[in-house]
Amino acid sequence: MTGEVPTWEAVARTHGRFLYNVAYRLTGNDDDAYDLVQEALLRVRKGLETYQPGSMEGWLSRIVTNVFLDEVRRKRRRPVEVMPDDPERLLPSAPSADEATESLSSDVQAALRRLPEEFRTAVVLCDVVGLSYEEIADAISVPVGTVRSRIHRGRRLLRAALQ
Amino acid sequence: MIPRPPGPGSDGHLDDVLSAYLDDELAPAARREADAHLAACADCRAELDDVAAIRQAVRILPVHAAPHPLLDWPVAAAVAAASPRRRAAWALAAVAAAAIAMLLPREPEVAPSLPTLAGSHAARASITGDPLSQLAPIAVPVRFGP
Repeated sequence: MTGEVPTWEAVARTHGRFLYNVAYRLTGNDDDAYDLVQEALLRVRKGLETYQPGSMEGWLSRIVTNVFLDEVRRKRRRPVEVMPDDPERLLPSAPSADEATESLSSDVQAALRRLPEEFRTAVVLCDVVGLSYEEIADAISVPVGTVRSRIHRGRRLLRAALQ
Repeated sequence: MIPRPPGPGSDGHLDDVLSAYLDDELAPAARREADAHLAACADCRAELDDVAAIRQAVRILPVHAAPHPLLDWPVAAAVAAASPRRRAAWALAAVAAAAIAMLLPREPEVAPSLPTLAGSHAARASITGDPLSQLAPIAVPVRFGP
């Protein structure tokens, strides 16, 4: 009956690295990436019952992005909480230990983390995940023209931050 | 001197068409127009180079590994191994843990102590022999850092 639908364990085993990497690039730190992946995994388990065989990574990145954006919206509604762009995290002089080990890419990661979420999400889905503009538009429910504009503005902001 | 075909941006330049150009997201006619504009516009060529460089820098970011394998995470193990009746309890436990975690004050990022995590995991795995099914009953949702 389940036929081609993979088991939850198979998904976690095969795509766990991918899922975590996307979560890390979206959130910019291991703490939040960990929370994000846990919530995404719960949704994956529910979603597998109705999963239509197709691009697993596309489907997973849609789930993890939606969890991320839900969290961003939730925090915006409750501004008392620490925001993802609070000054602590804006300090480029305080990279986390894992960033130090990625010395070559840490500047890019730090700049990515400082991007407003809308631009960061579009850039990550395009350049880290490799989705098409249409797939991104579908994933975050905005028009393709908005996706194009966010990707371009995101890249220009990154470029400016790294100059 | 070839007259410069105006781009679609508000100031007559290519603007976000440049990203679509790099990502091969333009229809053939739009791509030809962009090529014609680029051939005559040094500003847009320079911006294209800048955007191409940053695009490449993001694309070659290394895969960032999870602090330890996904299947060993408490919630993950609970989802995978719990019987249907116990899943509800685990879901509740996860929700409760998340709620408690949210109440805790957040501190600046603290890197997880990998040797500690790896050591404790290895110890449990060697005792049980089957980390996936054995971890779940004893697992307590744990957070890294604060």
